[in-house]
Amino acid sequence: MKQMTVKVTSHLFEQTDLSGEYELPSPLGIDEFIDRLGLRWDVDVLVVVNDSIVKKTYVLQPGDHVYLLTPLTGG
Amino acid sequence: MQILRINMASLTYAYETVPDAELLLGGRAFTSKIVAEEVPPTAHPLGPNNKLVLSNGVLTGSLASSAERSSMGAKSPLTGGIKESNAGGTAGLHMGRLGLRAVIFEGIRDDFQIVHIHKDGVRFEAADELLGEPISVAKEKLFETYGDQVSFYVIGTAGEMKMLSAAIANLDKDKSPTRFYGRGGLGAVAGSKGIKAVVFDDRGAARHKPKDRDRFRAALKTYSTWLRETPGTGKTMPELGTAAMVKTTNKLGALPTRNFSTGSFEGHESISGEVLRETILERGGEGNPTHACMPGCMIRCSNIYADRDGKKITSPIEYENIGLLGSNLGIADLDQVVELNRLCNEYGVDTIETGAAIGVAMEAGVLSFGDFEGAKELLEGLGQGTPLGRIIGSGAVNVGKIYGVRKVPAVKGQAMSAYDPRAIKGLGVTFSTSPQGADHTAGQTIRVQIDHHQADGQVETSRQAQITNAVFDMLGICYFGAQAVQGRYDLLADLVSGYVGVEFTADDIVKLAKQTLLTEVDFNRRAGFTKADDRLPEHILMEENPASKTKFDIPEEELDSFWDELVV
Ligand code: SF4
Repeated sequence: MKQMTVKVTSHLFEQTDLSGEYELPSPLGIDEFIDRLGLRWDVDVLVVVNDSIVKKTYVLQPGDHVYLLTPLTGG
Repeated sequence: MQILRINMASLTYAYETVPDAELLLGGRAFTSKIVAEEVPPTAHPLGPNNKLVLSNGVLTGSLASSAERSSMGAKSPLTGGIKESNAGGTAGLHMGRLGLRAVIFEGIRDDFQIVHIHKDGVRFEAADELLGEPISVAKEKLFETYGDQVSFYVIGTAGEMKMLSAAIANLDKDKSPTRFYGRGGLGAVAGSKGIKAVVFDDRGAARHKPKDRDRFRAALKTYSTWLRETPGTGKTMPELGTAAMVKTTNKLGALPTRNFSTGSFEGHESISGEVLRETILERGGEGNPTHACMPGCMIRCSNIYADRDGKKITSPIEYENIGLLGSNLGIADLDQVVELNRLCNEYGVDTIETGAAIGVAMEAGVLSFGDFEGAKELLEGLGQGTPLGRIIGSGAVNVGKIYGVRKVPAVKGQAMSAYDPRAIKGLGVTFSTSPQGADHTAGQTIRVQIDHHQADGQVETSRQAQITNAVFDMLGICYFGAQAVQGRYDLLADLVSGYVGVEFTADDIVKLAKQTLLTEVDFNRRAGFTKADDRLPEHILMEENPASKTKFDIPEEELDSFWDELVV
């Protein structure tokens, strides 16, 4: 199976240790990756890849930078 | 449940009883209905024909978590349109204990009064001793006179001077007068009516209980579980407060920076929620990163910020204040942001409008971006009513007009809150179309897992968000709870029916929220608003946001038909 590297930056409270580089099988959907990180899609995290918020159907690409942001009805 | 009408010109009052069928009319639904029916749309906002309407939400007084909010409504001197502004704190709770759903103030006068509402009626007392004082001093004087078991609404010197950014304060649960009905200049409307403070003295009043206790309790249990188990309300907000948003908006290119010229700020780390929390914890003393503005709130997004000696400076430090008084002014020092925030609280002005107004003054070259001392001086001038202070206190649009600046981040005369609408396009739709003027609490879309940089789906997302916000605003529930409720309004209907003892369904609630929005739109149309008012500022439409590399590209036709597509 092909491998790829993606980078993760986590801004989640008390979960910044999720930041780092990950070697992952390719192809891999973002929803499955989020699941592997132990996070619930659209509950625990707002997911940005590179500069855009992505849909659940997004397939990770080699070199992607995933940002895990705090989901808040805030302000 | 009763409504109290007070005529400030004649200092007389009368009570009316709320019919059972109208018990769902609370908060924004009530204030907007009264303003639309009783205030001529062309009335001068500071004149005798405007009314200031205070209304509790339907659940205010129930002590359900985060549900003690109350609304203020009037024709806004800032926007010229209908306005509703709501806040947490304790005044609504005390007003509810007096059996009052709402208080409607009519008429104007030149002197200032303290309106003392107690279980047997209303007393009017001259407010001379409170005039010209910072709000914290006025609070102490009110406690000296009425005891510290009362709660109250109070305006600052900005309201006394009828500045367009004047707000109305009330006490948080620790008696700090720092929960604000901030938007739309309602403090000036109170000032025009000669209302310095409204004291709710509920000593001796009978306690309110849910009419159907079992039903209310069962619904409350589920609601509390949702709040606890949702990460935003159960963990992030209690730990970081709304300031947790700084990193999210900065990443999305939506953090207003130097008068909304871009959407990410090189100094954002040092004003982030994480640094705010660490600073408060490190300093200890009276500071607290987790604080509830009202009794019983489980979310506790508020905080208390202390100085290096652990002495309280002010409360709360929120995302909006950090965005408008920090990055928007090019200020990256948390202590400086807090000091500006404190001054706004002491003089009683909207932090959003004031931050935007100073940002426009910086754009004009009155002072430089990043000039904290200059910003502080402007605010002190505002408190004293110097000519330049009054200009700042008249809001961002007026500062732009006076200094010949075209880049003013405002819609319908009201400054945008801390989201660049080119990067969070759903909020751009809300800012454009909301009858309230640019305001995130009119229809917050940032929580939605949607590509905020694309135009697709934003109009519908904003429409749904505006309905959601109207639902929470009428029930008196803090809209931060919306992320836990997730549209499951059957439970809210159970809470409401159990509390007031009259059967209301989720459909009834949503229908009334939609009707409220359309009532507001209609008032504005009758006041002379046109589709041209449903637009972001020209420069925001023309220029790309360099941080998000996006322009606001929602088709104008979609904005024009926005309200036509809302079916009740
Ligand atoms: S969530 Fe925050 S603003 Fe809302 S009621 Fe609780 S403490 Fe107040």
